[in-house]
Amino acid sequence: MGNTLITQIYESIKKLLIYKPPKNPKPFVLDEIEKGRSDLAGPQPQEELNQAARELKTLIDYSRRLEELITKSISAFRSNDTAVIGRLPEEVEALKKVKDNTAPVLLSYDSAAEPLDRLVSPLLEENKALIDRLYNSDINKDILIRRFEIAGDQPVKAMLVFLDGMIDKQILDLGILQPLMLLDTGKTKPVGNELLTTISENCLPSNQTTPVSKFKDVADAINGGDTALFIEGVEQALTLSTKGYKQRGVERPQIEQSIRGSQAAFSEGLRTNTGLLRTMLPTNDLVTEILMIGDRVPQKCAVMYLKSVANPDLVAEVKRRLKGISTDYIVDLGMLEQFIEDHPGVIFPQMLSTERVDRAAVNIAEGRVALVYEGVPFVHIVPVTFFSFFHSVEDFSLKPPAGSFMRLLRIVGTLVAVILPSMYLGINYFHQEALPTELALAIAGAREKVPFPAVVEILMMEFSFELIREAGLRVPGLLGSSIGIVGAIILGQAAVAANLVSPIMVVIIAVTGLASFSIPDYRLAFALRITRFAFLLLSAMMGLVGLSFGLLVITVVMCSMKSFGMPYMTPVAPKTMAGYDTLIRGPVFRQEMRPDQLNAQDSRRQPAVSRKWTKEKPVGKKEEKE
Amino acid sequence: MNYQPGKMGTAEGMAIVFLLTFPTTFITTPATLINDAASLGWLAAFIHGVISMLSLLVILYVCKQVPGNLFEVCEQLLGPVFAWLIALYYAIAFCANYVLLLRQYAENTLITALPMSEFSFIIVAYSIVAAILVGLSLEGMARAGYILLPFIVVTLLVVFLLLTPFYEIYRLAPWLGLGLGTALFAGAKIAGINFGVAAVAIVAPSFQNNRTMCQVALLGMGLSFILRTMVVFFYTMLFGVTVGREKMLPFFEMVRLVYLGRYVQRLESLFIILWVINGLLDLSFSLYFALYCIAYLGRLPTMRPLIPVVAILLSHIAMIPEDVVSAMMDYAVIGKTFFNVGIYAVPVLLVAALGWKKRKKVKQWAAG
Amino acid sequence: MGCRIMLLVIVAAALVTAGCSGARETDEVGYVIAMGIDQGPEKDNLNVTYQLAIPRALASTGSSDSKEATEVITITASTLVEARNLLNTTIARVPNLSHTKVIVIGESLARQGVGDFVAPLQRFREFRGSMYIVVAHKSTAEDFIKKLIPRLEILPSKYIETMMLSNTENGYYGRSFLHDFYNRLKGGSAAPYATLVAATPKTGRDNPADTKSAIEKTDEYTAGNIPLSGGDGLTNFAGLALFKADKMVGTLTNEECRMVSLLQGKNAPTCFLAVADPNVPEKSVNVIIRLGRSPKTEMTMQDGRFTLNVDVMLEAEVTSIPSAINYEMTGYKEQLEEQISQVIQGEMVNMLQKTQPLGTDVVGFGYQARAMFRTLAEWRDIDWSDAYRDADIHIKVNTKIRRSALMWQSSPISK
Repeated sequence: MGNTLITQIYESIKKLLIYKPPKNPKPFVLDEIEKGRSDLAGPQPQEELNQAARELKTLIDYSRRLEELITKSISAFRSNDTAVIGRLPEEVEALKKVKDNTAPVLLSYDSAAEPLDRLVSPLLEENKALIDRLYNSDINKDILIRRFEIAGDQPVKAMLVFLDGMIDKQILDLGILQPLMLLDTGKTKPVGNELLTTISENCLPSNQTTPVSKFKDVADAINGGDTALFIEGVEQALTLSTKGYKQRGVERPQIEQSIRGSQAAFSEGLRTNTGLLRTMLPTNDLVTEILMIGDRVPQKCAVMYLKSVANPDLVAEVKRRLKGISTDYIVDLGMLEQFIEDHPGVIFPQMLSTERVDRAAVNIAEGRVALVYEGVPFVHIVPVTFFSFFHSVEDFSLKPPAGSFMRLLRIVGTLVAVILPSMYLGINYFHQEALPTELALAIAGAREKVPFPAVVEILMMEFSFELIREAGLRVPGLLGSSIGIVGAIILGQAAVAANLVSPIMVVIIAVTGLASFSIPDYRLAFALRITRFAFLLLSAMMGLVGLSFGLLVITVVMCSMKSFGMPYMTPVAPKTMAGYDTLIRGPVFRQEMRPDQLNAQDSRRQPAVSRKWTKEKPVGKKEEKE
Repeated sequence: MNYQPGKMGTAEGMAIVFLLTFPTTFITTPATLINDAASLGWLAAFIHGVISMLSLLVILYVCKQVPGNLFEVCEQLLGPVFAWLIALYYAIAFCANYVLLLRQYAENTLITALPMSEFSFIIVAYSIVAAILVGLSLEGMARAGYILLPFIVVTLLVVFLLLTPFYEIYRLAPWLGLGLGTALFAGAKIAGINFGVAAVAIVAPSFQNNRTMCQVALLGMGLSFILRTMVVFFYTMLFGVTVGREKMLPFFEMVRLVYLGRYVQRLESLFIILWVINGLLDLSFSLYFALYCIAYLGRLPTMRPLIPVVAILLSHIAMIPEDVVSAMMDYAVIGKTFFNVGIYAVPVLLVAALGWKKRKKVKQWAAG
Repeated sequence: MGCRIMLLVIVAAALVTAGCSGARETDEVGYVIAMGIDQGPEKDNLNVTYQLAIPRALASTGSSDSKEATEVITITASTLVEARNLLNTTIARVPNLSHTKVIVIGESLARQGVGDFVAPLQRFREFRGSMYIVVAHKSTAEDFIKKLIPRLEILPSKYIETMMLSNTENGYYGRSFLHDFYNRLKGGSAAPYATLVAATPKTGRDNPADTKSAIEKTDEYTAGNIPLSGGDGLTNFAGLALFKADKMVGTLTNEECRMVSLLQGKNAPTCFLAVADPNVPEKSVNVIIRLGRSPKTEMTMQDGRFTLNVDVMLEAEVTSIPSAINYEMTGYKEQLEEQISQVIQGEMVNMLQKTQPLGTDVVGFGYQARAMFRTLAEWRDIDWSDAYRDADIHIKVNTKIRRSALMWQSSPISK
């Protein structure tokens, strides 16, 4: 109608009275990706156009270089510069090689292939383009490319590619850039691959240099923190070791603390860990094989063993299993373990996980294989028996009676932790005649005022104990332990005073909890916690008969398990030679044989008389002749 | 000895033989022995153990000459028809053993441990656990049995020690009981309940060599019948003949009697764990070997699909006898007749066939 | 996978719906700690008394008065099982008999025969062989159980257990398990016996059961007749009840009971004995006697008649000599030894004279007699209780004084 006064007044009144919700944009919803978007990685519909563009670009590069060469040779011939003329044939050779590379078939094949599958090209621009594509350098600000010229009679163009944050800047500056750019040896440098060898042997004081031809290896090296050196005209790149990322240092063990024994624990870096193991086992027999695990994001995994002791079949099997994994990314050694273990369905651990260096060293010396993973401060030992989980590192330093006593205590503690609540429940419910009369009446009297059945009581107390345990893990620092203690005491006391539970139940749960802390291995403790609940249910249903069912089934399951081909319950179940080190620890000078089940190459580790000094005469005054 | 993967050694074999023959001691066998032989019941136990051991050693002697497991040996010596019949016999024998033992064990659980539970529930629970154990491997069961052996022996010895105030040596008098001949004859008649010793020969290829199997026979069967003799001996000293022959569960009564003071009394509930595990392993082994024989009969490649089916069938058969006393009597009768064929007839047949074959070979040499 | 889940669900459902199979919470069980059986008002009835323990008495927060620790209920029924059924009509909890410590049988019922209910006792699983059997002397079981209120303990069960375990201190009362009673009942080689118990009235009652000979200094009593006083009536254990087949036929006094236990070879480490002083008959000499070795018995049989020669050797320790005569030295020592041997032998002969006419072999000589036969058939031809009645038993007691406690001679008291 027009912008008259009436309409204006009408509009303003309408705007005043009618509520219009604010125009908010719709919230973000994570939908499925439609195919064919332009900013995704992977094959795209414009692929052919891109390919053609690349081909043309390469040809243009080639033609430009040809033009430069022609101009240079014309000016050299015109000015009669013999030095330059002398070098012309080599440059023609190089260009010819480049031309061969730019043959259409090869070009289209190369252009079509994924950047990772391609070989290093002699053209620096091509390599740079590939790096850009590979690392998305328009958006990825981590990758840095440093162009420079290698000093000499005829400066050669080169470029360094590295990831910011992963390299040690000092090594890069002083050990690589400085010698290449500034130190001029004055010799004429050869071209081609010999240039690379000369540079790496004569010019670079870097400690690890590897020539690589495939872009995949270049990418692996750059991802690992090394620097890649591309030289114009050379078909290979040189990877230089410049790792300098920050890592946690070697600290004390958090979980497996001990009073005696070394206090070094593994850290996150693979090389730190292998270095620590090497300090404990300084021998040339110790072999470290490194495998890359994971398809999309490969991570390094080291397999360490003593070559003259470990069973070669065992090593071969470990490597076979590791190579046979196909997955995106494995972050933790626990995940890796689940991929390669024999019985992933059974809750018992089949590898020993330790963060202590001396424990790993002892196991390697016995003939086992250690798995070290980048980024994980633990080392896994295979193969392992059930009884190894009860060994703690103090057993190695204490005398046999002390060691045996501690082991027996741990085993009894384990048994108590698993069986005590179910036995109490079974006897309470079904076999009241097993208790002495006073005890039975005391239990009955204590439970008079409690409104819950015994099963509910136990489950409640177990649940609250587990909550306290989890809470103690999450609360930071100093508060953690005190909350645990205070919570337990107050909870227990208040529950008893409120007649929610009987005092006997609190005692049983407390003893069980304490006993379960005596199990040295964390994962075994977890497995036994779960079996304890299963036993509890069986016992509530069928009394001690149910408990014996559970015990028998668990024992048979454990006896039929194998850990990397070694039965889980040796040396008790398949009976092998006694090694004085399973349940009871014997004197160290009598442990002459390695554990029999490992079938190591050399099963004797000490001669029969290992304390030779006992057979010889002591030092001192000569005895008088009689 | 060194451990060799995939094969069973003396320890596992010992566990198999022991657990196929000993757990009947925890049910009525001592009382039936006393019923037959009065105060010489222990001698009858000794005799039948010795006979079973000899029977096994004879079978093993034959196996040393001819390779393969028991059925293959029979095939070679006696011909395929006879071998099939012997396999059928063993299948039926193990099944019968399983059924009757299952019934008796379930009833015993009802009497001693869970008096108010439902009978079919207990039978089903036992069958399920036995089927699960058979589904796990034979080595697992044998090794678990081997882990259990020291506990059994130590527990029995501890029980015998704890009952010292109650022994009266003169309850074994008159020393000859019903007569020496009666005792020996009773022992020989009931040797059949140990027919399970043939299990060693049935899985002979799994053992390392014949010497291992002979060791198994001596150690396993020896331990079993010595312990049984001791149980019957001490039981007679505790209860005497007149009272002893009444009891349904001799071992349970023995353990009930332990009373040393205010605190060392009423220990029998703790022994429930022991004899339930024992009985379960006995049942599992019987089921395993029954399935093994059936798999051989039908030339089946594996027996795993049969496990749930056969377990369900046999548990239903176990519920057929009307009451536990008739089940017990059936077991004694079968033990004296059907099982005896396995102990007596099979070794004799095998030795005779071996002798015949050797003679034929000698004749061939002599002829040409 | 779905098949496995279904199987698991079916099995779990089956196990869960199978019920608790008899699980009993602690507050659903009533513990019976003593049971008494008497003759009922009519001929075929029984009076069954149950003593149940109240758990609150033992709880940490409950009162610890022994009077409020138990509850006694008496039921008249025709059989034991009927009585137990009727017990459940008034007690909310299910009675659990596996903690029963003692079965008390009234004397009148014992004299009529206990075979009907004792013999089947071993069949029911809640009864154990380690329960004690006692006979209430000249009173009813109900009366005894009602008076079973111990002073020094909270629960009667502890009282009875401790009492029975300390019977070897003195030997004045025997200890009879149901297991032994049952074995002897059915075995036929010896006679069953049960402890004799009773409750004395408030004022005590001095009723010696036997006369003393000249050299004895102590009276003999049976339970209930001992001059004890204190409290509301004290329960006491003394003597034995003798059974032949399943009927009670007689009693033994406490001294005779001590003789039985000496002949059985059970040693009583603090068994005090008072004999008259050989030289000063008004005063007595106190000794502690114990067995030097188990009594040796030699048995011979001739024409169905047994002859037994028992050789008992005692060791004595002198504990008090009021007359200050130096019995520790040789010369006097033999006198004292002779005196002690005579006293003991006299008592043993007394005991045999009481048991032999009844044909009850309490000591258990029949067990040794079994060894004299070759087969069971021969043994079964003889009826041992008749043979015992006609047997010729000679006892020889030899005492040696080994120690004299803390003094080796006594000086006389100055005038």
